[in-house]
Amino acid sequence: MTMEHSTDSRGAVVLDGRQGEGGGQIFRSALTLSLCTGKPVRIDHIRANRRKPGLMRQHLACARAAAGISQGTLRGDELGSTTLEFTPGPIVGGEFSFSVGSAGSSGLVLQTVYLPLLFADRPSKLRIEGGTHNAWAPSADFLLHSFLPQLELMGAEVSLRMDRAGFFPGGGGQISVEIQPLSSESSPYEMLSCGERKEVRAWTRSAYLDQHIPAREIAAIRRKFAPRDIPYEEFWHEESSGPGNTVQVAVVHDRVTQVFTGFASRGVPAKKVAHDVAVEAKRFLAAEVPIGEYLADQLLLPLALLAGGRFRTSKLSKHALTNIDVLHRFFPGIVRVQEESEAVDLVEVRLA
Amino acid sequence: MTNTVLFSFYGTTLDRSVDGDGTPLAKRWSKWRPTLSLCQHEELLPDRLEILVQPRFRAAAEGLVQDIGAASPETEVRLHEIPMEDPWDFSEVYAHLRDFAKSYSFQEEEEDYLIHITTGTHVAQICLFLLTESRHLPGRLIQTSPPAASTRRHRRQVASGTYTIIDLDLSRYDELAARFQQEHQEGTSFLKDGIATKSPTYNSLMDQIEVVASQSEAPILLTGATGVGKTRLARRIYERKQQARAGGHDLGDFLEVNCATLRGDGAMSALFGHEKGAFTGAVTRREGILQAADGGLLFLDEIGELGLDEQAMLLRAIEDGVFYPVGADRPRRSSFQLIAGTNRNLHQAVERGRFREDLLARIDLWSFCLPSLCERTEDIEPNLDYELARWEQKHGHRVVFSREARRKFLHFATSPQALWRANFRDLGAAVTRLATLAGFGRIHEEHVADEIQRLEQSWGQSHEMATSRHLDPGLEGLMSRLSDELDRFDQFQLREVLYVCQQESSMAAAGRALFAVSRQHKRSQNDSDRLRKYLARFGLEWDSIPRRSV
Repeated sequence: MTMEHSTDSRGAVVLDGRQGEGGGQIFRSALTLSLCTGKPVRIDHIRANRRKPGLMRQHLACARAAAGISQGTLRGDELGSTTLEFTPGPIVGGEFSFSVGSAGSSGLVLQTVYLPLLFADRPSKLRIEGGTHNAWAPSADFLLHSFLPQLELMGAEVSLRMDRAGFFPGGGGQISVEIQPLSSESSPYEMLSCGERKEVRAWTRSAYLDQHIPAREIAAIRRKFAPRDIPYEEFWHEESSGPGNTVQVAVVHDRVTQVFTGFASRGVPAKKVAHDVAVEAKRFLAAEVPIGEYLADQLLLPLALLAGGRFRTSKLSKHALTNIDVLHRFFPGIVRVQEESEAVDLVEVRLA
Repeated sequence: MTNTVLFSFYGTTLDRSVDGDGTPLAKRWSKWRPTLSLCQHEELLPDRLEILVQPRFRAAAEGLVQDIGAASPETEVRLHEIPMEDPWDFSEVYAHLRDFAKSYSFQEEEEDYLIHITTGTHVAQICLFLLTESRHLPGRLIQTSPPAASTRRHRRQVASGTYTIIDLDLSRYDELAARFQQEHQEGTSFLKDGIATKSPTYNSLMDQIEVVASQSEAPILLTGATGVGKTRLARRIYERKQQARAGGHDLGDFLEVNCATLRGDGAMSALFGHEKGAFTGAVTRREGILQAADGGLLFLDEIGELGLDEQAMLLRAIEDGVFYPVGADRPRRSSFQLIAGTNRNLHQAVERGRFREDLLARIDLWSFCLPSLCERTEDIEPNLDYELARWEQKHGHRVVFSREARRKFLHFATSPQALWRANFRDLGAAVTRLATLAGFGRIHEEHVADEIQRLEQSWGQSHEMATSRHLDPGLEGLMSRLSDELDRFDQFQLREVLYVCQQESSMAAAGRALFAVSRQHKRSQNDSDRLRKYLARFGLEWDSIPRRSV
């Protein structure tokens, strides 16, 4: 899949929002790459084929965060707008507060801005209000246990603290993130095998719900992994503003941890939510690759900008392929995907 | 970028988020809370939410504010206490909300306002609607609904439900305006302009005219006092005929002339045209009104004012379809339908030699007398609505009476105190004034009270002017006998002339007094003769006018 190569009269990189996965991903990756390269960007047809097309609140929050850390300028930053122009300014670092309401995820805002802030000349502190555990977005648990340790391997010091859990629809969550500027050149990243498996563990996060819900989830997961013993924990979030429940299963290897998250939903039995997460974790284990679907997707941009390197993963998702397309618009040919088998891809990313 | 600002009542039941002690309700996130739902849509970002709350519910509302802060951290929430005692008391709620709207500093350039009408008592909702309609709240309405039962399983639907934004600016709804037009075209009677008149005499009159207009090309005479709508009816007859011809050959033009403007030398050439060089100043040939009306319809209003020569020529034109322009040797042809209008008694004019008997006989074939407004008070209400609708069409926004104001206006309008001297002209003027003064809002009782005063004053003035010249009882009797036949214009003149005659000792003295100005210009030499002729028009002689001892 390739995107049409074009720039507009200002020299801005022009992207077609309908390509690939066609959602917010192109949009966020484009903002990040624009910030890191200093190139202006224009995204047309944003979410054009969605039921409610154009920018929604969560996208607007990302766009404003991007402008906020760089004193960049935005055009078309309105709800429902299907075209957005962004001209970044210099990235200075410092303290920032962002908020994203409705069903917005604090993780997606962080995803948009952490890379450029690594290139700032001073440390940054972010406080992001919004959901911490939203469906279709990296949860605070995923960021903490899966993603940030891999960033660390690329030489990036990013620490995250979940101040308050925030579930849909109550929201009210908050994360605090500290980002240290990159200190030195890092050695290439390589994650080709799982290494030694340490454990599989599970935990639930709940607020204002019946006790039996997490209990049933844990039971379902332990049953699925029987006879292996699964250590588990129950976390209760009194500080949350609304009810919520997620169940996490982590597959912990020597150098990499995969977190799988199930989101409880009205009308869906707790048992089923837990069961589905367990199935997902088991499928990953069976694939015997070190990097899972979501992590693969998240690693492409930092690899290109921080370290370069390669990893082995299960078949790349549409999200990941879209990310590669956007990357190629800024750095042609920087990613190479080698299909090792029907189920396994080897991904190699050059340092930009 | 404009900010979105929402106004919403704290709904004491639907928005309830805490119990009596202020402890958050456990199940609140699983129920739909309308005011909160406003802040839970991905494509609607309220930059500010103004929550209106009765003081005793303030603490409870704080609980809601807390939850909005969590669910929508981008939104600034402000609580406004509205000190209502009884949220079901219409006037109280309205007054408080109006005060709130007045004191709020709206910045329409920078902010987009949405007024939520799903919470609050029905009375509060109605008041918000009214204040939005009257532009006291310069925004659009927003209505929220809970998620449909069938979609409750979808996580994203649970909390927010749906919303609809309603813009009350009717001028935006072209279809509505078009439909309005349509209704008029297809209304029960086209001739009545779609006005649902109730007066049985008027309605049967319209039915007759309808038949005549569609069947006959013969002249029609419309009589009735000033302002009863003769011109409007003539135009509708023309349009009706045009409609009937749709698809066939075209009807000519509609020409409308007020004969009172055609007196003197110019009358002939204006009506019938003239040849080049027919008289001094006739540098070019003039076609004339009759020629222009060829194939169409000519409405001659106040036909009683037409001079006798013109009457003769007109008769020929109607009967034979030919007439002679001034200075022409050959006749011209023109075939048109004549509608004549008059507020005079033409039969009396014939008796006095002011109107040709043969012409009257010709145009009197279809004679319809339009009743004055006082004679059909039951039609004042539909005509009031008609005038309001006309205003709306012309100005693009609705003007409505408040219920009480409408009652008050109609009560006065149908009472004997309402003289409606200029009939529909007065009614139309009253509506124009009311609508203008009400601005974009509603017509209130105070507007109506002022207007009643204005109407009474204008009628009172003319009445006073008409009666301030006290005449001898015998002359007063004459005046009242003539009042049905004479225009107010002529009544005033006659009264003044008689008043002067009463005062003066001789006809010459009266003549000097009456024609004092033109005497100075030496235009009129024989004042006595002029006065004698004037009096003769009313069957009066100098000697029959009683003298007053001075």
